[in-house]
Amino acid sequence: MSWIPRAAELRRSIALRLTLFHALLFGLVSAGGGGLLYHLVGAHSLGAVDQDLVAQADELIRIHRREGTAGMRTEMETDTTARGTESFFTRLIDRQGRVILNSDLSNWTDLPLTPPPSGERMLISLDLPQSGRQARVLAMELDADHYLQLGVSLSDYLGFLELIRHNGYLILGSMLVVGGLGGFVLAHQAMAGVNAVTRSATRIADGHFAERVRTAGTGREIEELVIAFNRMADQVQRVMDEMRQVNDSIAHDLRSPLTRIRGLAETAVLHRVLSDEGAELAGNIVEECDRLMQLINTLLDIAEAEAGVQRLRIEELSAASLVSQVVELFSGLAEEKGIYLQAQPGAGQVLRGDRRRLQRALANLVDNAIKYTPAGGEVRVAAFQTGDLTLVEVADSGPGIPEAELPHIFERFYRGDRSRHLPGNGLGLALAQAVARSHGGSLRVQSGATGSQFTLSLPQSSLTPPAA
Amino acid sequence: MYLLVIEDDDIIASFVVKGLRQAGHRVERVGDGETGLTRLLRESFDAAVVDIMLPFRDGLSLVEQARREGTRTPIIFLSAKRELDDRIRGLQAGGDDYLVKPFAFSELLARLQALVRRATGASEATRLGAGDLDMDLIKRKASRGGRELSLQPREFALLEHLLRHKGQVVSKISLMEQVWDYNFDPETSVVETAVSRLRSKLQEGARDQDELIHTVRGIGYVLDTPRR
Repeated sequence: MSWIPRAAELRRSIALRLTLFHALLFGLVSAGGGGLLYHLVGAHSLGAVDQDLVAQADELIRIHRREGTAGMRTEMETDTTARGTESFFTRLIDRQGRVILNSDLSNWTDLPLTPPPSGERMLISLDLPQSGRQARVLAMELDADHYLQLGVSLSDYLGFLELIRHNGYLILGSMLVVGGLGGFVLAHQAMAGVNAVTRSATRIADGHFAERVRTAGTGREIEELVIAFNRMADQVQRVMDEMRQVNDSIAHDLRSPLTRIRGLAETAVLHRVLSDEGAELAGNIVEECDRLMQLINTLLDIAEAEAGVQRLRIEELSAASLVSQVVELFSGLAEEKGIYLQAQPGAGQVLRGDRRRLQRALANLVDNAIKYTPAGGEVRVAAFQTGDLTLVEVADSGPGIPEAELPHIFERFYRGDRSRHLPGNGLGLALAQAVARSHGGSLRVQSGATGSQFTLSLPQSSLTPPAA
Repeated sequence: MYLLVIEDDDIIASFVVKGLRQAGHRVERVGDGETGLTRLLRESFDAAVVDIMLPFRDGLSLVEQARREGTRTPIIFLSAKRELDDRIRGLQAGGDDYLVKPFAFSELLARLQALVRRATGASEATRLGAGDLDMDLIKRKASRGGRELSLQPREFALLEHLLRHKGQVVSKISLMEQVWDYNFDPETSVVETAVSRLRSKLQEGARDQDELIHTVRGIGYVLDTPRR
């Protein structure tokens, strides 16, 4: 489905890039701010834990000085009971590592010794896998031979941090979503005007010259673009209308006198008022009138097709019947010239186009091929399909087109050295190319010593008749 | 047939009228749209030839008005525009026809006859002939002097078209349209070749003076019984 953009196109979309950029910016700012806050809160909380431990140790040391070991033991028990044995412990340890006093250690089975450097206190975080917890431990010298070890479980602290982190992620996630959405809305609004201009430009290019962009209130820059674009479209439409009028009046003003000349000459022939010689002359006048009219019509057709103002009558056509029809039309002529004219109508591809114009383009190609192919040669007309394109190919076994002539063969009135003595007005290929282009397709040529090959490629779909 | 020609260009009108009279028809000509409308409504013509660009009332509005008032006379428009107006298309759907200027008089005559035939509901012949040439359109067989002709489908169609207009000149462009379904005349002699091949098939074993298909230089071909 063509409205789903491919990945490569998506990457190049300004709207998408703005959206992503916006989301990323929001995310980075939130993550940075959140991270900083998290660290500050974490450090502050750990500081409070440490202060509490130090205060507790100071208190124990004070009691020890006042009441000795017995007082200290009572205080330890009171503290531990108050705080809960699973979240708090105290030990008195001598420098040899013997535990002199301790609180209830049933929840603290794998406590290491943490002798502080002499005269100092030491605060560390310990991971105690057997006890299944993390702890903050203070070691503080009581006297030269003993030190106090106090520890508090960090589960409250860690739980608090976990909560902050969790909420932080939630906030970050919503920031990304909000940032993305905001970016999308902003980008979409900014690009809506540009997209409208693109759509209109495409329709104008397809021949809908009355198309204008109607956008209001999408910002000054876009409005200026729209105004400038619409002015340009006005100008294009005016030029196109003028061209149509000029063409129509050329056609009309030439038609009436030609109708008179042709009619008078034809009457002279039909009414047998002339000698045989006179009738022959009058017949020549009729022929020349027809040739002149055909020339004028062809020139106007080419001009209109190239300007994209041609009024096509689009219908569904079978490529196979276009091919077999043209081959049938020229079969007699080919046989007369001793040329093998072959049709390969293909698998019945359907294409949308103007039947009369495509018939004519194809007939011009076959006409040319037969003209330039010597007796005993071969001309092949084939239709096939590649992707979205229907290709109709006219290949001949003629002498090929000299390389110097190739770039010019589609020019109006161009006649190569070999064709000067042949009938024709030099418009056949120009017309065929104009028809291909007005159908959104192309006409290409390949030529070599083994012959020439003209390929008419026409898009199968998406051809809509332009507005008249 | 009783025909009305509504055309403001005197020269064009003159040869159209002359040609139609020559073909044995009774013809009236008027030069403007209002008079044309009045006469079209008052008299019962078998068919009318109406130019589109006319003084006082253009051809399209003339015919539209005539149709509103119930006139069913078949019409052929003469248009100086290359592209068909949508309004002509609408009228064409009602059975009317058009020709683009410059047109071949023979073509105008052929179309008029076809229109009138259609309007009167006359059935088309299933058997055609000229002299010793006989054509059976149902059995798809043609013979000359009792000798069956072996014709390819397009040759059959070509012969049929010429026979239907026996004695009338048929233009190359109308052969392109009727026989090959193309609406332009190619640069090379496609029609000439086909006609000359058909001619030689018809002439096989016949005398030169029994020639049936004659070329009218610059204008087309006519099939007629040999002049004795």
